[in-house]
Amino acid sequence: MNVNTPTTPAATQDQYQSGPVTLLTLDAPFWKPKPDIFVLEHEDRKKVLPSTATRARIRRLIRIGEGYPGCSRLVALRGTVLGVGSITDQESLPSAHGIVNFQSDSPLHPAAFEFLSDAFRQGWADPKKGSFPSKTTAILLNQAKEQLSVHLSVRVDQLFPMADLQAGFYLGTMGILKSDSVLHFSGAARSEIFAIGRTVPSHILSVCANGAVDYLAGRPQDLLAWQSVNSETGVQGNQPENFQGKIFVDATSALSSKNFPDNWSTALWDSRTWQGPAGLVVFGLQDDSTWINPLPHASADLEGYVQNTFSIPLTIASAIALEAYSREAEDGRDALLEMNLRIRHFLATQIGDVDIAGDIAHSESGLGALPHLLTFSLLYVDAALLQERLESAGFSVDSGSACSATNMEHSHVLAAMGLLTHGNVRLTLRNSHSWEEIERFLQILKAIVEELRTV
Amino acid sequence: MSRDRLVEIDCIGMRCPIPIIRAAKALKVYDEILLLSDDPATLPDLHAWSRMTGNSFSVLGPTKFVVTRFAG
Repeated sequence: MNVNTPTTPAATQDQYQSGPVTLLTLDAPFWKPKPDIFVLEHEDRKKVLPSTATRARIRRLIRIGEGYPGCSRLVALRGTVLGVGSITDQESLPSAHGIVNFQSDSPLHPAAFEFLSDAFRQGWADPKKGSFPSKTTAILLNQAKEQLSVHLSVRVDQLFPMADLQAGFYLGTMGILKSDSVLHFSGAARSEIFAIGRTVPSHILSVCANGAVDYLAGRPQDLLAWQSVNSETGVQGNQPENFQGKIFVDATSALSSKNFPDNWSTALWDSRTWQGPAGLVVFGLQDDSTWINPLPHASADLEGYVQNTFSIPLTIASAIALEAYSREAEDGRDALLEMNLRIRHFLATQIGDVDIAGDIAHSESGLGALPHLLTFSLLYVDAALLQERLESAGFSVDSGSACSATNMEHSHVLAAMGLLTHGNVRLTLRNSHSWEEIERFLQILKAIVEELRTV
Repeated sequence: MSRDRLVEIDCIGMRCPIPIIRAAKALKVYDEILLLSDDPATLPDLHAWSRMTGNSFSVLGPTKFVVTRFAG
């Protein structure tokens, strides 16, 4: 594929927040290769995201050349993230630039991708109506919900696909809170819970260095926002055994309900956790006796409320992705554990001055960190520089450090756990990672850290 | 050395990890320093850094920290 002369369309440039943005227009038709959109991060480190209007204007495939003058590095966002309906093959994006992806973002699972167009072709009708296409859609939706039910270990009548993650958090918490309730949540909770906590009486629970939360007993009318798995550290939630109130489960980084407290009331899963499509979450309602829809609604029951608010084809794709991902996760668990332990050992013995989040030794018993996530902070290292060097060397990683965040704020999760917030690196390990890639990453990481450390 | 005569390491306006790096460098020369930093990450990082290195610190104000070298 040839790259045309760099152009900077004025109309597009206006939509960007910082500095000139140079787009390289590829000479391939939009529909031919699967469209990727790459967004520049400029030298001033402001991430540049195209607005919706800009995206609508982008009629041709856009890809920014690596090492192009004026950009410090590339931030690759999959089509699913940008929501333009363009989804990239699992292998094509990393291999396109020789990048090994340790970031949490991942393309749609190939199993779901394969069925995606069929799902849109067959699952478009209103499942409540009586026509043949409607009946077909209804059957597909029921199959998808049953699949979700099996893998999430929740009754099918307690699961409700939805489109909006933020709304899911709101429904799950505010639907249970009463006027005299107090919302309990840990200092390592997601920012959505913190946002809700600022609007109601709340209590922030302290977190230990290993990620365990110090729960209070509370009162029967109180609500605990309990986290099944922490999305930054992979640490599984310890059981709130003495808590007397209701429980909302943040399961947005979980694959099932297996470690949930028995008396959970509401729960929320995120399809992206199992490489499902973005824009699809699953709401769980186990205790409908106390839950009241806190949003304006015409339909009293939740099923009526969410009806027509989510994409049925994406629900089908999500169910397929969950089935495939769960199987792979189970099969590859031992290998991921071995990789995780290898990286931890190398960090401690070969690099040093490192703060590693969570203990992985007890992950199989439902405690400690899960093997697919590894978060560590390197003393005296600038995370943004480290990320850039790693990217140049062919490795994409996440970071919770302020200097690499778009909002310039450090990770509140790391701070709550008492871990170092600078020099932070977060790795998402996958079965597709090879041992050769892991070893190469470790050697390169060691060399870069030695270079960056100046104390 | 009394605290009003401590060597001042001014990191106002600087972001992580510069305040911690400068504090660590200064402690190679001095036993105790006054660190000025308005980076919100400084306080949590001082806690973690103290745990990792054995150094200690006390908070004099939102942007003022007395940092003391590990005596062991």
